[in-house]
Parts: sequence; structure tokens; C-alpha cells
Amino acid sequence: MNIWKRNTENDEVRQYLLGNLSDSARERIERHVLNEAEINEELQATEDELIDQYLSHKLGAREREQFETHFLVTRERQRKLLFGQTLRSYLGSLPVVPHRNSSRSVAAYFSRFKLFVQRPVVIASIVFAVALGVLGVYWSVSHRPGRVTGTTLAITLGPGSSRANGEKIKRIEVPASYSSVEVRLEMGTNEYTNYEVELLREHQSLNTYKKLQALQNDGAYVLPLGIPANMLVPGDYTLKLSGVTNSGQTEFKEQYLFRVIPVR
Amino acid sequence: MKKNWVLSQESFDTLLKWLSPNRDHAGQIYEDIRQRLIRIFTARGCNEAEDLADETMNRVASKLPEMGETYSGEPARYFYAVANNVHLEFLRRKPPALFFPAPDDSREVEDRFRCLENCLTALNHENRDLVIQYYQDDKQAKIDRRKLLAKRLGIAPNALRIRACRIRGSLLKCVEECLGRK
Repeated sequence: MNIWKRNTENDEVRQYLLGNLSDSARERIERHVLNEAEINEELQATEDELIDQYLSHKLGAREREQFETHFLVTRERQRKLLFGQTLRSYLGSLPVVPHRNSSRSVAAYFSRFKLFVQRPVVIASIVFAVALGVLGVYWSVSHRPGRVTGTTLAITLGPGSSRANGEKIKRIEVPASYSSVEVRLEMGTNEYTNYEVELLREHQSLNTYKKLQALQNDGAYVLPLGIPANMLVPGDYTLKLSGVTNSGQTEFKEQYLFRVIPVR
Repeated sequence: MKKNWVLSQESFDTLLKWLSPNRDHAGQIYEDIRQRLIRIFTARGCNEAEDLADETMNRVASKLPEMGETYSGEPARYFYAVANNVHLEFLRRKPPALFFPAPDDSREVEDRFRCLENCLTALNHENRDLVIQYYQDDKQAKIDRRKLLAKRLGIAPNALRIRACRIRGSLLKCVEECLGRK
């Protein structure tokens, strides 16, 4: 049986945990529980799977009800549910790790190029389009305040990505292959010609970026800011955004939080 | 049934002796049976699984003098029979379920995240990579990722599943210890 696609409705252990088995079927499983070590690990793994399916709303109405009224009745499972929730939210806040290539996927990847080798016109068109794209990106980056060169990691932070609003802090990894991080601060309005952003790590000021200008993007305003990657060691960061008045005074507008986590 | 019966040292010693002539080995069997009973009571939806398992152990100990050496089966089977009675009594007086309040305070959520982060960092690289890759993604992407992961580690899908579950269990313990220190 393919364990990744097994029919979970027929899975006896799963039904046992949801309290769905007849007395005789239940007793049969419990005798295994008393006498075999392996089934305990199977039970634990199935419990984890049920919890994950509950949290991702993949249980049907009947199983969901059984999960809440039978499965979740013990304190230990409530603790597990809470942990599952934390794990799920945490992993959801991480950038997805790319699949490691298997020999099959590598082969599939390279096989795509066979088409291009057979069609030189396709290659020429793609090279031209890529060159145009590279020039466009270069132009936009080189005409932006606070620019940095090399490979750039881009992140967008929304206003109010703060603890006070009960939201998750944006988490990023900055692998050594990146020379800079482009942070785009989303702004509701654009009342000032220039802005200043102070970068703080654990409440200690690292740098202040001046003469920044907002850009319009799909009707919203964003303020791009380039930060050298080597400045972003793991820790909690705050960006304090202020508008600069015509008389040169700064007025605090918003703050944004993000966390740099160790590279996995 | 011997209600309010307290397990004396003498009864406990008799119970251990019944389980095995080797005291250390008997202690292991005792704890093993107790854990399995907790698992059974938990699976039956009993919110006092540990108490019911202890009650079962105590009742078996209390019956040993009457039973003498007449019982010839596996001790675990006898525990199971007593556990069924304990369970029936539990059903008659079924106490209301107690629910943990979900953390609604953002500070608490953040504390849990920070503890999880610390616990993940404390894992060795292979286990950290495994647990993150195993539980990340959704739907088909998750299935593909797990297949690749099992292939890369050279283990069967179920072995990967059990390994991920063990690491998850150790993370849960670590996070709860971390939160307990705050």
C-alpha cells in the first residue's frame, strides 16, 4: 500500500483514535497496544496526522465532530493540538525550502532544454527577452536610493506587522549567497516627498536611510530600501519610518518588524 | 472492588515480584504496562487517563494476595481485564471534558514561536532539515517533498513518517520545557 495515498477512511488505527470502532475491533487493536512496541509509534504518528488534518480543515464534517468530541477530550492531545498549531504557523511563516534535486528531477530539468537545442529561433528569442529583463531590473535598481549591488533578496512588509496587532512577525533567511536584502515597506498614503527609515536590531540603531521616495505600485505605495545582507545577522529588527516635512523635520509614521532566522 | 485502597510498599513489592523475579526488569515492565494503559484510556477518550492507569495498577496489586498463584496467563492480559472494569466505572461517572484555552495573546504566540525556534536550533542539522521539510508545504507539494526526502535519506516512507513523529515529539517536549521557564 502506498502510505502517502492510502485510503484513510479504512485505516483502522485512525478510526480507533476517533472512537469509531466496534468493541471487538477496538479490543483487537488494544491487545496489540499492550503487547507490541511498534503500534505505539504508529498511534503517535497517526495522532499527529489527525491533528494536522484538523488544523488544515481536511477532516470531513463527521470526523471533525469526532475529533472534537472524542479525540480532543484528553489534556495530552489538547497540548499536542496547540503544538501542532504553533508548528504549522511557524513553518507557514518560513520561506519554503526548495526541493533537493533527485536524479529524476535533475533529468527532467535538463530534458526541458532539448526542445530549445532543436529550435535556435526559440533560444534567440529567449536570450533577447532575458537580456531586456536584466537591463530593466538593473535600471530600476540603480535608480533607487539605498541601492546595493549583487544578488538581492526581496521582502515586503505590511504596516502593522507588529506584535501589538497580534500578527506574525515576518521571518526571513539570508543565505550567504545574497549580498543585499530589498525591503519594501507598504504604506497606506504618501504625504511626504521624502522619507527616513531607521533600522534597529534588538532596539539598537544600526543605520538611518535618508531621502527615500515612495513608489506607486498597483495603486498602493511602497518604499523600497536596500540593506546589505551582512548587516542582517539572526535577530529581531525594527524599521521606523518617518516622513520628512518641507522644513526638514521628521514625523514618525509607522514601524515594521521582521526577524532574521539562521539559515537552514 | 477495593475503593480507597492505598498501594503499600509490601503490595508494590509483591506486584513487582509477580511481574518478574528481577526487580529492575519488573520495574521496567510495570512502567511499560502503565504507559500502554494510559494510551488505551486516552484512545477511549478518557480525560483522566493517567489516574485510570494508576487505579488499574493499584487494583491489580490489591487482588494479588487473593489470586495467589492461580493466574497463569500473561500479566498484561490481566491488567487489560481490570482496565476494562475501571473504564466502565469511569463511563458511569464521566467527568466533563476540560479544554485548554487557545493562546489569544500575541505575546504568548510569539513566546511559543521563539521557543520553537530555539528548540529547532538545538536539533542537529539532519533532524532540523527533516522536520521542516516533512511538515512544510501542502497537498501534492507535500507528498512530492516527502517522497524526495525518503529517497534522499534512503529509508521507506513509513520509516520517515515515524522518524518525523519522534522528532516532533521531542520538539513538543522541548517547547513545553522552554515555556515553563518563562
